[in-house]
Amino acid sequence: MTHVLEIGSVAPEFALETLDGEVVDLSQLKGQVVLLDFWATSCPPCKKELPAIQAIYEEYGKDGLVVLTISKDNDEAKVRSFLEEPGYTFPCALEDEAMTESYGGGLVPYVVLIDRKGIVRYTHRGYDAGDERALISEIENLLAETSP
Amino acid sequence: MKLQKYHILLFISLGLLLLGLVRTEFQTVYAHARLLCLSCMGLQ
Amino acid sequence: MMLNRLAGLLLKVRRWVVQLAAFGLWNSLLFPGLKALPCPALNCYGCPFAVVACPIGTLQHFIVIREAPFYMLGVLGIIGALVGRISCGWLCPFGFLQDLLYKLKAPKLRLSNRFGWLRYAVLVVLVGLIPFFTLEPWFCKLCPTGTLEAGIPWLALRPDLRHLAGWLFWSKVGILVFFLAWMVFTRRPFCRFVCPLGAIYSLFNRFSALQLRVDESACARCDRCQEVCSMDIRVYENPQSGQCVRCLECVRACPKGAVRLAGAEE
Repeated sequence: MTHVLEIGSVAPEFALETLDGEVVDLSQLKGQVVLLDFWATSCPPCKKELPAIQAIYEEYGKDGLVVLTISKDNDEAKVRSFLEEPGYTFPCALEDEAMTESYGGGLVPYVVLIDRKGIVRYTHRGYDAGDERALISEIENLLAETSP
Repeated sequence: MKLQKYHILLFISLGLLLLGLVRTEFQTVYAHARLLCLSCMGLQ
Repeated sequence: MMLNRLAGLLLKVRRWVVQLAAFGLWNSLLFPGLKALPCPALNCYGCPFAVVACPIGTLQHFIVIREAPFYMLGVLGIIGALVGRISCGWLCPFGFLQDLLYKLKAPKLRLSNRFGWLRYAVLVVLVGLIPFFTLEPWFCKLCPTGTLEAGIPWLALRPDLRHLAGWLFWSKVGILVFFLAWMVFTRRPFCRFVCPLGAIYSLFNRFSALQLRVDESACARCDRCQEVCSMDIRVYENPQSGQCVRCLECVRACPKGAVRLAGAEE
């Protein structure tokens, strides 16, 4: 059973290697706003959410937002080809079960927003068209906060 | 012991199982079973 | 030899104890790693406590991702070839629920198994064709077992998920309520007319190593077997019926001792 990641709690530490070979280590990201998105290729609402994640990555990546999507698939080749076709360029890592568990990432789709101090500020499960508006508004708020 | 139809079914099924094991399909089964996709539960 | 032993054991134990234990085992949350193993019965892997994988959900997933499910078909084939549809009678939580609800005092609606073919239609259309073309797991989306074991428990346990309950969820609840009500009046309606896993196992009943045998000369056609049958069949008409879940109630109840378990060789 997957647990609830409390808003206001310290984001659990993790270091994941993306499909491009880059290591995303949360401890190195203090001072930056981090967006995590847990998804899977076989999850229909996840697939609907990814274009919004790509748009957020393109729009706010340049403002310093760190985006990391975490695929719960076990087949790296399949994830690669899945991302290639629509031209998704956001960073993606295959899940680490312990990390997923620490974030309560069992039920997907699931987004987590971490502020510059490493505090969990926003989580959302499921995706319906338009859900990204609340996420974007939260991202803008967090990006506007000053570094610690 | 006379060859029965269930023997044949059993051999075919064992063959399928072995093929599946070689193809590590159990990993896909595991990944999907623990996915908890909200859509699959009818929540989306 | 082993089958004879199994038969002897099954006749000694109370079936509801095995059904309850199976329900507990499939949803015991003790060994999360076992989700690579198929459950021999219909038990939703979306249940917060599930430890094994639903075979129908898994088959459907492989159809959606367009891969051949050799592993799962192999497991189902082995079970089917050895014991036929026995899992439905002894190991399925949803079957158990149907047995329990039918015990409630209410007027009973006897239905023939004439529409039993519907379960094959569910298997082909809802588990196979629709997921293949829509890439969405439509059987799971509508499955009442999933509503009962996953949808409702998750919403009960997790307030943060309640905003998700939309038309699909309430449709699922409607389907579940419909079947729960029907279960009070009719024996195992889901197993007899809908269950795609039962449909798969049904195919093996004629050939399995474990068989029911009726001694024609001893049988008095008293229909006591049908009175106690989980699936409302007369075992003497066709002991190899695809609807038989080998619950063995007829073996216990036959006043002439005319029904017994036997190996295919006998």
